[in-house]
Amino acid sequence: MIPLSHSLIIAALLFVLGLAVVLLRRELLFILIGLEVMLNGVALTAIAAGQYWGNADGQVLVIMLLTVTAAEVVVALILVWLAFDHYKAVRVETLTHLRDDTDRSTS
Amino acid sequence: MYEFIFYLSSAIAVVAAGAILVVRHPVHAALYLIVSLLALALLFFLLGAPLLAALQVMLYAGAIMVLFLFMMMVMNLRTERNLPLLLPGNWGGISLLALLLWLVLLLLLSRSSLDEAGSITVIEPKEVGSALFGPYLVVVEAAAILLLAALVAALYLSRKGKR
Repeated sequence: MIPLSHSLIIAALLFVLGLAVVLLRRELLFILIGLEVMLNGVALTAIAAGQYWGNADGQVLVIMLLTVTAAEVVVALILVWLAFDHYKAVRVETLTHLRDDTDRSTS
Repeated sequence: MYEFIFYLSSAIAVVAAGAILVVRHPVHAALYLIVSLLALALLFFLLGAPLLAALQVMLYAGAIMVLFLFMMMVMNLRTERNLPLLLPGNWGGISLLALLLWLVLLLLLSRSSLDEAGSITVIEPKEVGSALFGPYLVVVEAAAILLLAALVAALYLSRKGKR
């Protein structure tokens, strides 16, 4: 029998690794992949807790998490593609068009 | 035996997630993410959630990762990097992790070690379904509205001839 704390430690490790990917890799696709890793850490937490208490609420939460992730990935990937299409940007440092001091020559 | 399989597959998941930090090409990151997701599906199965393990393989590793790879193909990042993708020495880590995961799966299937674990209460898909359409019916409706909104947003953002 696996104690609950070990599952939570593994989930926390996954979450921290995903957060590190989001914060350290400054490319848009890597940020999305890091978000996926973070959400999977959350899903592992919910599954382990649902197993610990022996009811199905954790799995219901994970199914909702799957739905939210699918919707988020679809919209975010289209936004990444549009950013690449308009500004030729794959890194977030180049997406500074909302700043005041730049004129919007493109678009 | 059960603990060994659990910790080995969790180590595979964590190592594959850590490898995303250091790889350079997004396609390699997507491959490592697929290996991590499959190891997580094994963890879900070991934690007594067979429905979620199947959904993880079908939805995450199937549908969402296909979206990622398709978008990478469309974007065609950096034309000077259009060399053959899986250079030798680059796919070694991925295939090693995938092979290890496959061996873990074979071990799990050959021993049927869920029986000897005993203390794991498998939460059947029937219970999940009755919870989903019983007390959580409003959440299901909210998820339907969210999916509809995502569909509308995707159609709006990807329309032709804007501005």
